[in-house]
Amino acid sequence: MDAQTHRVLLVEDNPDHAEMVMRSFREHQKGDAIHRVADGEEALDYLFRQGRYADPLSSPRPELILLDLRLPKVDGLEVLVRLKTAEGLKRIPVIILTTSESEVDLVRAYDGYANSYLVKPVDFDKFIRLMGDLGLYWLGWNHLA
Amino acid sequence: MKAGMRGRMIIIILPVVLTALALSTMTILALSVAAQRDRSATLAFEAARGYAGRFDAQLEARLAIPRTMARFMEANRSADRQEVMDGLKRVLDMNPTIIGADVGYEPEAFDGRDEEYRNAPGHDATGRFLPYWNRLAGSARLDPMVDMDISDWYLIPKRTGRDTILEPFTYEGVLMTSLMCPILRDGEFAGIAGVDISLEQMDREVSAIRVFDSGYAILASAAGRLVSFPDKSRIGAAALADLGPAFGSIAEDASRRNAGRIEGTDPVSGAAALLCYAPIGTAGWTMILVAPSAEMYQDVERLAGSMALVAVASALLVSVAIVVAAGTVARPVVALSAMADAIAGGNLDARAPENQGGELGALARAFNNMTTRLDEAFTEVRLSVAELTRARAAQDALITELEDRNAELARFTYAVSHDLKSPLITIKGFLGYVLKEAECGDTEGLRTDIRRVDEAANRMSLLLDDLLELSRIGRISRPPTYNPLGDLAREAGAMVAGRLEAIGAELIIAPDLPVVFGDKERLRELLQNLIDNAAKFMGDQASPRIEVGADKGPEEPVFYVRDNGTGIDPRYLSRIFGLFEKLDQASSGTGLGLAIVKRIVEVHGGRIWAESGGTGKGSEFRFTLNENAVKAKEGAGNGRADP
Repeated sequence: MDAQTHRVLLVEDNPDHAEMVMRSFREHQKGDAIHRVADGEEALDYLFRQGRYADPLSSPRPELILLDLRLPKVDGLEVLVRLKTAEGLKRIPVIILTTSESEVDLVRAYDGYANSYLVKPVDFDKFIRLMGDLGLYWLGWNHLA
Repeated sequence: MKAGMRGRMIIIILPVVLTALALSTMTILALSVAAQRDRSATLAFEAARGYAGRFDAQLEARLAIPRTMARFMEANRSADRQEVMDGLKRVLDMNPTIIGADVGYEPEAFDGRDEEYRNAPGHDATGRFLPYWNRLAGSARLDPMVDMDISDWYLIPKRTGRDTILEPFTYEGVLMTSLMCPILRDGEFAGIAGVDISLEQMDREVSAIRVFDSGYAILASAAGRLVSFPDKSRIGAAALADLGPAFGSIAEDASRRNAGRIEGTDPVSGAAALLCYAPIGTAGWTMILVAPSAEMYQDVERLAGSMALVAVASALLVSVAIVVAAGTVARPVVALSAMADAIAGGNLDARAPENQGGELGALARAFNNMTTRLDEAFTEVRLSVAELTRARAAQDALITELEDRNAELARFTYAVSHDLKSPLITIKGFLGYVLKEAECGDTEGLRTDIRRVDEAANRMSLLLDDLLELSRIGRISRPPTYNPLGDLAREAGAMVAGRLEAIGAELIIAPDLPVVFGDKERLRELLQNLIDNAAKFMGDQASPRIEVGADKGPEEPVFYVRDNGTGIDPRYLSRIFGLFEKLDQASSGTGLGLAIVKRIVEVHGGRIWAESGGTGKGSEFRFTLNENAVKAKEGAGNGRADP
């Protein structure tokens, strides 16, 4: 695996949602460019290269992070704060991708320096379009640090 | 406090009373002494006058003899000289106190026949009639009187024509005086008749006078010569004035025939004495009584002494009485004061003794009434405060509960919106894929995705069931009953027997579980969820074991469901009871099981927590129930409703 195949880190506990995101990426981008972790703890392990991600080869730096908020073990907001305060990680754009439309979650996400806050659309077509636009914008138009 | 009040009373009262006592004693003493002195002095004075009168009478009696003789001579002109001389002899013989009796005529005055009696016995050379029968030499003899024309004893009666008692004189060692009476013939002085008397007898009588113990009498002549005096050598020789200045004053005053008394000095002892003097009228002599002050005032001093003694004793008695009275008066006040202190210190049960009469008893009763009212008022206030505090606490508890409920509701709403949306997104999403796969005839993809939709729909159904269940706990309740926890645990075990069998787990239920009071279905559900949860997280344990038991806690028993499964990372212990919290996303269940467990424990008045040594070390869910929910069976069936 080279760096090009791991451009996006998906932090999503719901396997169905993860599947949908990854299928969208496969249709619009290169599907194997995405890596999924299932909870907050695993996300931190990957990003801070500890536990089973201690080998840097297994945990290349992502260009974009898609982060769910409600996660088992370590909450999504805590993951956000941890990585946004880590010197080598804080410039990676973090897109919050959640079912929550809660004002509290929105504010706390931006306070934690989230780069974008997206609510998963229930409608399938919108979901597909959002994924397409997201990939186009963040991996296409957007300049990464 | 006690010493203070009592001491102050004593300090104030005692000096006043003692001063008053001393003043009155001194006044009474002074007055008594003065009165007693006056009485003694008056007594002495009256005695002096009495003795003066007595000796006056005695002299008067002696003077009667020459007076009788004179009257006789005046009356019997015819008497011859021999007859007169015989009469004189008889007077001398009849009166032993008389030393001499005499008559003396002017020349030729008796019978005009002086010539015939020249140098005859009782006559002088001219034959003048001057017979003087006397016993100056012891036996009686007749002598002619001599020097009569130059002597007072003749010249004074002749000049004054009055009876005369002469100044005492010493003749042949004997103090004597002469009592002379003029003989008048046709109003003319013819001669005198007289007697000489020894003053020794009078001296003896005066010397016999005793004034008090050692006091004595002094007799002085008109010229102040001592007629009677203790020191006999001074009789006839010394004068009154020689005895001291006071006697000088007496001599002066007595010459005017005055009586009186004067403080002076006893000429014999030299001690202070009261000198009382009274005139002896006939002779112009003075009777003086020397009353030694010490003796005269002996009674006064005794009186003063006993009065002083009585005064000192009274002072002592009064002092003791005041000290005792001060104590008696102070005691109830001190008791009241102590009670006031006790009340101030917060002891409202303190009461003063009410058994004394008068103002103090009334004060004590008033004080006690006040204290009782105070106590009642305080009790009311305390009760009110307690009520307020209770009400406040209840209010606070309500507010806290309300806040908790609100927070829970917010969490619930949030969780529901998030977690109900998730399966919806899955369903809608994969239905979209199913449509695409149907269009292009991807049957393999179709089967997979339809299964995903089906599972999501099932999960949603479960979720809705659990949410409904959760919302019912505590809201919809059955009447609480007494249930042996052991039976409930066995029933719960039976409900999850399938899963236990599938993993080969052993369920061990402690034999000594108590009876608990509560909603039977909920309590069983509680145990069921915990056993199920334990079975779910057994991991790859070769011999899975689940234990249900109870420990004796400090207040209430602590129940536990313990397993030897995967355990829980201590970091996540506090989160596991939250809504939709799932530590392992891959595990089955809705994430509401432990939330339901927590809710059931809470509506039964208990609390629940999880303990674990860490991942792989098993976990233990411990919970309590309200102490009223755990009790012996005797209260069973009282139909008490769960709050």
